[in-house]
Amino acid sequence: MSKEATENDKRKRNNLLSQYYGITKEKDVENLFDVDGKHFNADAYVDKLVQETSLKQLIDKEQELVREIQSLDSEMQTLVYENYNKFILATDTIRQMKSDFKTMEDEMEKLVQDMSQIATFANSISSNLQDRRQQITKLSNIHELLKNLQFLFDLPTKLKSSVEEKNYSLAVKYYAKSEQVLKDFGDHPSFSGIQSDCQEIVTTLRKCLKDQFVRAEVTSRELEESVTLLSKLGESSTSLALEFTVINKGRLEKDLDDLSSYTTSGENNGEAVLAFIEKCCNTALNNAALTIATFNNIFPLASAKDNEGLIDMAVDVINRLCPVVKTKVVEIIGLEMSEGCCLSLVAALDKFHRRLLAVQRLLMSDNQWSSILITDVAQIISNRAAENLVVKWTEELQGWRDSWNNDNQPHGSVKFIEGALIEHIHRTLVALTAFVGNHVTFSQDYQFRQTFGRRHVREGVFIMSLKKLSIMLSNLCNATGKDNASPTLILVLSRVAIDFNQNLAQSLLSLIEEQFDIPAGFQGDNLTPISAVTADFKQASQTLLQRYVQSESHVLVQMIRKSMDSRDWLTTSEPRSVRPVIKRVLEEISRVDSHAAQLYEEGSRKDRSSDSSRRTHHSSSRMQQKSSWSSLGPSQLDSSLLNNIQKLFSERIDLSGTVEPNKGSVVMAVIKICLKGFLECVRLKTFGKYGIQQIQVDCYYLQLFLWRFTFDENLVHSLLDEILSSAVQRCLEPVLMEPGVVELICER
Amino acid sequence: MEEEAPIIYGLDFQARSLCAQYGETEMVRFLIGTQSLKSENSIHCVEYDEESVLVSKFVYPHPLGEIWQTNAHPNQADIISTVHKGQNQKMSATVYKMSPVPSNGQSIDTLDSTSHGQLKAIAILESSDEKEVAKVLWQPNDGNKVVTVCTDSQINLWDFSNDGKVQNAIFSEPLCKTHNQVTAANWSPHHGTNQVAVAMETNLQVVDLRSVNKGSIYNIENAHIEPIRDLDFNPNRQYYMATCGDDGCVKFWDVRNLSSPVLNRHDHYHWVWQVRYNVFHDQLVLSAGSDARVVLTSAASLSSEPFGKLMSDDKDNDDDEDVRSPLADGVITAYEEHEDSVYSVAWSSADSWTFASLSYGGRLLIHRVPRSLKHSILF
Repeated sequence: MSKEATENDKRKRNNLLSQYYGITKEKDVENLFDVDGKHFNADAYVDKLVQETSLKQLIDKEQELVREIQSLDSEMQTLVYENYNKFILATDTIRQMKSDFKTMEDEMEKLVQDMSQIATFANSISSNLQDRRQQITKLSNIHELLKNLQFLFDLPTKLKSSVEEKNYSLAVKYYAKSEQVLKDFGDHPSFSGIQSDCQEIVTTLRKCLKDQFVRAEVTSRELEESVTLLSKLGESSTSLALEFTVINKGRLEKDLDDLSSYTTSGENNGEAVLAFIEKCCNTALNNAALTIATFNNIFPLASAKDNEGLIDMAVDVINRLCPVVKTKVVEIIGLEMSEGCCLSLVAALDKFHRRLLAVQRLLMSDNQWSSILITDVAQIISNRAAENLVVKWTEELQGWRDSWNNDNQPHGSVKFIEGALIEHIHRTLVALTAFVGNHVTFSQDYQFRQTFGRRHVREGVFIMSLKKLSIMLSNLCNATGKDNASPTLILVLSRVAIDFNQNLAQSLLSLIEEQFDIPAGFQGDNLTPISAVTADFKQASQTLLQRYVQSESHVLVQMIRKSMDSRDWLTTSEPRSVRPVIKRVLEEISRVDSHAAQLYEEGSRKDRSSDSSRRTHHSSSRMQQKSSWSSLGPSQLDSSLLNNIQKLFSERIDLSGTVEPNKGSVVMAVIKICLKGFLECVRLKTFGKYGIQQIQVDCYYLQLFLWRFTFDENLVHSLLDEILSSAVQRCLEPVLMEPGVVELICER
Repeated sequence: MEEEAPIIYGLDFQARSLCAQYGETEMVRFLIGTQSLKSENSIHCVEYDEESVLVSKFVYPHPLGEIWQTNAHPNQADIISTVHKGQNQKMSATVYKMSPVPSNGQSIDTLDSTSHGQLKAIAILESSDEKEVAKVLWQPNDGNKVVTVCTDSQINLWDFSNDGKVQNAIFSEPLCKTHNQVTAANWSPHHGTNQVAVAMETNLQVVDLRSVNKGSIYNIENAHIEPIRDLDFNPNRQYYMATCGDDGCVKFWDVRNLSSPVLNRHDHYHWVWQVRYNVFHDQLVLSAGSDARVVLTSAASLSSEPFGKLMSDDKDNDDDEDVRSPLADGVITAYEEHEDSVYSVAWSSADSWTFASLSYGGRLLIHRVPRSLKHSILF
């Protein structure tokens, strides 16, 4: 029955819901045939059944329905019975409750009566005690007053004794207690005495406290105490803060003075710097930090203005400290700088940097003290390093110049000199790398690393010193007198300059870029391009080479000139041999050749063949040419005609050609100047028959041997031709020797 | 700087000596002495007419042999001296009177070009002991005296003040006993024309003619590392002179401080044979060398013309004029038209902007200084 009810309920709810949501019954038609449905239509159902089912099914259906109806009836009966039963039970229970409540009401009434009785009793007790209590209160008030009076009368003595015992805080406590009373009743005669006594003592107390405040060796705890007490005594905290600032300023200034008059004691510069910085940190910096900390402790509530005063003072002290540190450090480190020295310096600076940063945090200041200081010091140090480097180089160069041994082999000397020069710059760089070491705090600053690496090391040290070096090298050329450098050294140095131009400068730069965090080949930031330096070296090497050519040829020309001057060419005897001076000249040229060959490439030879028959072939062709001259005979040698013919065939000899850095060019330049000098000497003389023959022999000899040094034989030939033709012009009796004889003399 | 093409005049003979005809102050005229062992030598008088751009010449045969040096009288157009070497192969000096010579301002074309001139020897300047003469010098300005310097540095003074006759010759001892030969000499136009500078190889000595045997007034040891080939006094500043030599350098000296030259120019590639100040604008200095080049150098910093001062005075009113930048020291122009060694160079006495240079082959080039330079100096 209940199941049906719930089902009915459910259906009802469903119907309500569907009505609410407006769901139309789509299956209305079907529901017509649902026995349990809402729209069940019995007639339709029966009709449907009768129409659709067979008889048998109909009978079955009927039986089924009858069975269902019967079960439903019985279910309904059971339900009705059960409900009735429950109703009877409920009636019984209500009757029972009615009798129980009656008893409880009686109990409650009894309780109310008892309570009112208790209240009456309590009231009577309290009224009895009232009088006594008032008396006791009065008595205790009087006692309190008496005690205070006693205290007041005792106050001067107590204050005095506690001041004497230096128990200032107690004294202040007492005074603070009584101050108000004394003030209120001060005009009363009995109190005025006490008050004046007290005031006297308090003045002493205040003085003691101030003394303690000002005392130099006071600890911050004592200081704090005295400040607290003083402020309790009515000193304004602003003036105290001011006084505090002034006192500490004095102390810090003393520290500063001490530091600036600091004298080193250690023998080692590095250690001395460390010691100095240690002292700096421990005195000035430490005290500054302490001052600030104490101030913050003592005047936790200090106004912004007081605070500012102190901070200004501290900032000022540090502002002055930094230059002192800078000058001192720079002074102590001195001009001599070793690697170890630099390391100590950097360690010292780093320590200072860290301490300063800590103080700066305390000050909440964003000043760039330490970075400015360190950048400055780094700049000074790198400038000094550069200067030292240049001085060392200058000394080395002077050393080599003064102690140059002409037997030195150029090749080895180049290596040696380059090694020594590089060694010095390496040492300098290694010392400077201390500034960018990994363990160094300040070098972690990107800005610093960049400035130091680019501006100071690359520009200040590297570029500057190399530029100076190139200038020094060039200047060697201009030196005269005792400062004159040996030509071989000049040649060697020209090679050194070329090596710097070609690779040494670049490799040094790469090293610097690597060690000082500069991007490889970095060009921006107004950096001097490496090409500016290499160009200087190129220029220097050019100057040196030209100087070398000049001094070597100077010696040779002088030999030739002296030899020309010392002979009477009109009356000289028949030539039997080549003049010794010509042989000497050749020897010298071959020495120049071998020196230049050690240092320089061969250079391009115009038409040199490796043909071993070259010499004979060449000489025979030359002889033909020459024999055509001699066949002209003296009578036909019209000087002006010859002169003009000569001009037609000879090129203008270019003496200006700059010396190329190769062996051929160097030797050629020497030969050219030499032969041109020979020519000029010849033109100043007048020759006799044998005189010109001697020149003929000399020229032939030179021509035999000079070709091997040059790559432009034609030039040598035309110069020799010109010498001979000039000699012919300057000859009174121009009869040349038979070529065969000349050959014979020369090959002897 | 625009280049004006030089005028070329070719002699048929080799020549080393060239000088301006100082006595002629209106026509640009140069004298050249030829140097030939085999043919007859002569003095060529070459005149350049700027307007017609023509060169005319007149030849005076010189029978006494090849000419090593030609020097014109400082104010008489018809008097010259030469150092020559004749048949005896000895260097001697002679003073000649040339005839005919056109009167001042007259062109040489007025002479009969078919005829030859004549050189009449006025004086043969020979010392008694037959020494070889290295240089002949005319007394600057009035030309009343001549100095001959022998190769052994003996100095002889010849006085012509009385009617062109030689009088009162003074013969000095050689200045030094070394066998260094005299390579250059010149007569200072300052100090009452009493000072003569003589270069013996690398050393330079200056002597006072009044006390010639009492040693030099001052000397420069090793003025050049190679022999000095020529020297010239600044015509307008008394303490300055220029020397040149085989080291290819032209050095300028302040004689009050001889420890080092005040300016050293190394602009030649071979020996420098002659150096000459421009008389009117002494910042212009010519040098000629056996590198076949003539170099016009500016020595403005040592000049008597206060260019820098004028500049600063004018600066206020004409800033826009950029032409007037002060002349810097250094090479102004290098002339490379010669094919052979240039042994001599001379400024014209009539036109301060014209000069001639002579190379060994007998080629005479007449140049004018670049016009822009002229403007920058004049205005």
